[in-house]
Amino acid sequence: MENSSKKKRIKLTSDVKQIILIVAAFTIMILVFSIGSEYFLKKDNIITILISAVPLGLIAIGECACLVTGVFDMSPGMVASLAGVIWATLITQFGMNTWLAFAIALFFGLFSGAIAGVSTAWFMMPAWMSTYALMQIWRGVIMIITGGKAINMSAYPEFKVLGQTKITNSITLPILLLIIIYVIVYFVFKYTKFGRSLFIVGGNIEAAKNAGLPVKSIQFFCFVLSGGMAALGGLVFASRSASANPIIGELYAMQAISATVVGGTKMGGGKANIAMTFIGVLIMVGMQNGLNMIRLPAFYQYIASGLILFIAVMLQTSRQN
Amino acid sequence: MSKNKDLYILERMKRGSLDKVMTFLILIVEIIIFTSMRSTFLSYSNFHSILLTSVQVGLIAIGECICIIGGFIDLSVGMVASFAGLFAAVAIEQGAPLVVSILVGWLVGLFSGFIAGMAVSRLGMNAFITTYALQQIYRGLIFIWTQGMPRAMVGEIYKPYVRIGQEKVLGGNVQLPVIIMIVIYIIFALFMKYHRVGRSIYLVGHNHKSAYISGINVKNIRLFMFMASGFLAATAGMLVSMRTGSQQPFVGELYALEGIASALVGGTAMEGGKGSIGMTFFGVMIVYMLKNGLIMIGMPDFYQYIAIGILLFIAVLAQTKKEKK
Repeated sequence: MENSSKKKRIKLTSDVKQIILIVAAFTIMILVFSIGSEYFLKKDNIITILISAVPLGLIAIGECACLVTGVFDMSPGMVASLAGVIWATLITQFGMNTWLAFAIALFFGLFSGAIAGVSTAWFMMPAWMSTYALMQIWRGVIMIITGGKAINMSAYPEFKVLGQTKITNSITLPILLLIIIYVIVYFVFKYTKFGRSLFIVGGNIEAAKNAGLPVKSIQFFCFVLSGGMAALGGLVFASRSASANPIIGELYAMQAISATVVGGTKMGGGKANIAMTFIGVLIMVGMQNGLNMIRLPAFYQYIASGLILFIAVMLQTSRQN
Repeated sequence: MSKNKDLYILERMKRGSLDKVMTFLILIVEIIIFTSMRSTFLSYSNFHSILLTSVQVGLIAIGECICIIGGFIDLSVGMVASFAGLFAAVAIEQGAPLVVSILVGWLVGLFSGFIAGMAVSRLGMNAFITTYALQQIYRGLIFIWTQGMPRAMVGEIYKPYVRIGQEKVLGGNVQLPVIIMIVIYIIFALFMKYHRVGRSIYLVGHNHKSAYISGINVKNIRLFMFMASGFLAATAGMLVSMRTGSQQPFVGELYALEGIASALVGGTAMEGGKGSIGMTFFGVMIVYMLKNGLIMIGMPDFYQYIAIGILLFIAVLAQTKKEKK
């Protein structure tokens, strides 16, 4: 009895330490950038950061669900791009109703997730490999549909509703959507049967099987969730920018993985905190924004995001050891 | 007991040859399809151009094959190739002798392989993510250094360097990089088959615990794998700028994907411990004949993405279905 309570206390402190570390990194980032640029902490800029965090934030939810069960999903970037392209093409080429086209594009995301899910759960393919292949296939499809050019949608007012509706003076619908989804997912992860079983599958898949959990279905649903979130992220972005950009998703998968890992999701699976994932997303997006604010050229972002990812993985691994 | 053992060995032999049959089958089907659509596909000059364009990915596929056999993956190779090529080009520009500049390029490759290898073997970091992060860092560094501008290698000072990539040998029939690639393939195939270190890589990939117990220095073997991969990537990066006579900053963008695809199509097992350098060469041929053939029948180049994606999907699927039985 005493032994088990002691164990629990040690685990708790290590979790708390991790949260402190992430929040500290976040604070340091804010401090550095607000010293570097007086505009960084202005209200307008914070809103800008939040808006640009929306697609990445949504994708990070799906990625977090996949990582918790111990697999990577590499495809969300291209799923996001292709969903936007499908939405725009159905409207412009086929004259379809905006919201029907929206539903079809969203359904495509779920479908792509289902392919990845089936190949991982039932065909036992290594997830990152099959989703990588899937990503290449979607990339080709995007190029065939668009020829590499962005589709301009500024002539379609209904297209812009999702991304540009203002709730208050400065807060737009996507920001609200992001926050609502994060709150829902937070509770789903914490309190529902599905959410809790994710952690068990990631922590010890054999134990989960023995406990009678439908491991394969759970893995399958993780990918479906990831595909759906990716499509939603892509659709929100397309609507906000009033165009379907074929290459916008190029870096989403890796940024989302970085955000989740920076947010303390354990890479082998079994441990994650969706609130910290949100902080991770803010760190990634805030860093991009801040580097722009202090007028460093865009390619410093590559180095910064690479370094952040490297250090995050290093700290995580050293803690495990 | 002994009967069981015989059966087991027979089963393994069958499996091994099945992998090979499958690889050759894909290759033959590809050749038949493309030749029937374009009769020039099988001509010597086209075959030579397939070999020549496949040199850089061919070399990188060796590194990926070694890493995958050892149970890991190296995503950084593309940018390592670009980075090493850039260093060598700058060394030439500064008036360093040919040998020194090539050594500089190799050092860059070995050093980046060393970083990845230390992170994976000593710190136990996830290879997939680590090498991806390194790739981003190199990409940023290349950007800062070159501003994204290519470097043309014209002028007296580049002549000996570029000559290595453009010299024709064997009576003017074969360009030198093809010979270099084939020699490197032979060296590594023999190395993996007969050298102590090469054979240890198979053991480590198959079961690193039992490898450790049988006295293999697992950490050093893993370090070696990544350094070999970095070295080969650097060689590939230099050869491509020698051949084209220009240093493109992001030439290696797709090298990692194509190298991994080649190794897997050549029958290297995803879970480690199984694969061969010789078959990887045929994997490279499959990928590059596909690319070449699609262009010859007039498909736009983005169909290559879909084709390679599907190829990768099938190769992995075929492997995993077999493993399950």
